[in-house]
Amino acid sequence: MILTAEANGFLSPNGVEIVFLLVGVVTLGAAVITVTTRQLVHAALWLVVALGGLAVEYLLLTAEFIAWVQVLIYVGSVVVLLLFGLMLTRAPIGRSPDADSENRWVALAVALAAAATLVTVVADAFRSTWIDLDRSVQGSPEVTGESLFRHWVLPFEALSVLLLAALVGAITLSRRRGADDAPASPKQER
Amino acid sequence: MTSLVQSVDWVAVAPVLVTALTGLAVLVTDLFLAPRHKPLLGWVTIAGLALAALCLIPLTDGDRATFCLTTGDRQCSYVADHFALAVQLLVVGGALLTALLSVTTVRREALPAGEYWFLLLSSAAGAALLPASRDLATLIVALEVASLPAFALVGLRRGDRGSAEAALKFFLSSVVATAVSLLGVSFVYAATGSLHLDTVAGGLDDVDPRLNALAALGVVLTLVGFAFKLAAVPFHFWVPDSYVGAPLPVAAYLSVVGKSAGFSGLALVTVVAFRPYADTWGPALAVLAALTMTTGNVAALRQRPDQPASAVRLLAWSSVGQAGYLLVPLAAAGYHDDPEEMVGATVAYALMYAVVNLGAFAVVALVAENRPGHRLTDHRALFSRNPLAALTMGFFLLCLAGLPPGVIGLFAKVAVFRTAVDSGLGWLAVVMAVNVTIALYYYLKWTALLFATPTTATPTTTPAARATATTAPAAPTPGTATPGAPGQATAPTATGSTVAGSTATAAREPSVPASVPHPLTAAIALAAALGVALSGAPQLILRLASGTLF
Repeated sequence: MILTAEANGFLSPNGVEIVFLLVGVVTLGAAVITVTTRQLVHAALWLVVALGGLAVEYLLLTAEFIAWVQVLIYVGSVVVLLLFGLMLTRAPIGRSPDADSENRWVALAVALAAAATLVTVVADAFRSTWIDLDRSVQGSPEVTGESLFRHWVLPFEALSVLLLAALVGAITLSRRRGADDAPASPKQER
Repeated sequence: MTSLVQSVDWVAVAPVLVTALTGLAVLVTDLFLAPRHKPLLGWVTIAGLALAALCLIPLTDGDRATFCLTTGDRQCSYVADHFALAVQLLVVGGALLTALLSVTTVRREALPAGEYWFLLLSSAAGAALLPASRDLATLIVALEVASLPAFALVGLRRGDRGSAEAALKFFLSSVVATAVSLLGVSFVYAATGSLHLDTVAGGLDDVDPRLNALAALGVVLTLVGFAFKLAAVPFHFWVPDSYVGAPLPVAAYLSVVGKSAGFSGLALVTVVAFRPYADTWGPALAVLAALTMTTGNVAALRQRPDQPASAVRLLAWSSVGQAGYLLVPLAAAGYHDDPEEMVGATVAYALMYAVVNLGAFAVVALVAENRPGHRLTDHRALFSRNPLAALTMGFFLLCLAGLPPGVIGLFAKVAVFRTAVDSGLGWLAVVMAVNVTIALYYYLKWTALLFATPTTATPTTTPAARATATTAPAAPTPGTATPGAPGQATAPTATGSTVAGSTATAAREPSVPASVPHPLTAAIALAAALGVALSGAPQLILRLASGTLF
């Protein structure tokens, strides 16, 4: 990261910058449609576009590892989980006019305030900062893995405990009492 | 050439490691145990936590560090200094007392044993890792390890709508708080280029002026996640519902170990990492402290004693108030020239609070053995039913209030007070004094309730009540009209709506002291012994309040 704008002009963008901006606009549009559409399945599918757009942005910034993690985890599992959730709970597939909350104006105000704060602060801080993409690659899996297993072993191990606890907790909470008792009774008979 | 991988000092990480490994062992053992042997798991948990506490002994020099960088300035991710050790003692000890409390609850409410103990242990491991971690990544991960199992523990009471709703509320709001925290961490990282606390402090010292606003916003946002875990106002709304919805030992656990995760994280990020921005977080924490103690105490004051779960609600709100006192030395650190000196008062206060609050929860659990409503009015005339329990409860409440004979509560409050005065935060000291007075009212009211005569209407019926108590076990059918009628007469007027229930319990009460489960008695005895020992020798923990722990 360099903090000068000498070699880079704001009004003479190169190809990567133009693509970055275009993908950004698409991502923003998809995100807006996700929260405004009345059809739940459409919302989930637009979320794929928004999350995939972010992955492309990461790729353009040479953060290869994060980009594929984004595709695998968010597009691959979170959205699929959402769709499964919709299917299993037999949520209405078509238009659902009652899927609107009374709180939408509050939500809109919060969203706008948060966006305004973040955009002003981040834009103010980094407006003259350019990342040199031609230098050594920062976000490749090799660099990430080396740093992770050389310097960040402790949080990595702690995360393993966290994931196991999350798994066990989720199973415990979703198991019904009846399902719990059923396998226990044949054992007692024996 | 040095080694490429980090060297690990296994002795230094032993307290955390033993806790986590015991959790794994319990989870695996649970698969192979017959249902009738399941209570064994509780005792394995207690043994593991005791072992983890013993693992603290070889570390008392406080000079070990591990998981250090192999390059550059060799910053370490895990440091077992005196601050870490003191908080780890609190966490492991608090979890141990919680485990003693839970043995009965797990059996009686038919909670899934293996999962319960595993979640408790993994949460304790996270809370023990947190005070020792010295980089923002480990801090956030440890905070999540401490809190994520707690969501599941809160919702564990199956078939109970309130419990599930409390867990969901707790989960959603906590995840939002952590996300905000992570955003803050990413801003701080962008501004300083490091996650290690000492390097962050150096980086914030001479931050690029263009990144100044970003760094300040990052500092404030990072505090949100930790303030949430401490249940500081305005991040406190999850507390009463979660405490009431959760099994009682889990509520006790959240009020002590959950808070310790919050305040130790706050202490680390403010005093160590964000020291150059003391003029940003100092006033923020001071306002937070004042708001927290006032809101908590005023809400505790408004609890109606005859409502269901009013005892737990009162303890929940009072724990919010106490979190405000815990914040005072941290806020004072923002105004003091030597901020590290201030943190000791918070740790000392937290140790006192942990012992006493867990003790109070244990007595509430004891009373709930016969009167499961968790009402304040259930504690009326506890002295005449169970003098020892009433005396210990009175002691715990006086410690919380800060009155003799709860000497340790008084001294810990004075230590907190002194930090505020020393660093020129006069107004905060005044707010705290007012709050201590408000808290006196409801703690003393509860204490008075313990020693009240069994009847409110006429004191002369006391002998009659005693007579009923002695004849009831001799009666062939203790639920019938004969003992029921006097029982109805002696039932406290406040519980009039549940007369039918209380007549039955009143008739059975004389056999109470014999049927108290042993683990519960052990928990109360342990807490009382610790409280009395600390009151006799307050220097044991007040030592922490003088000098620096880092």
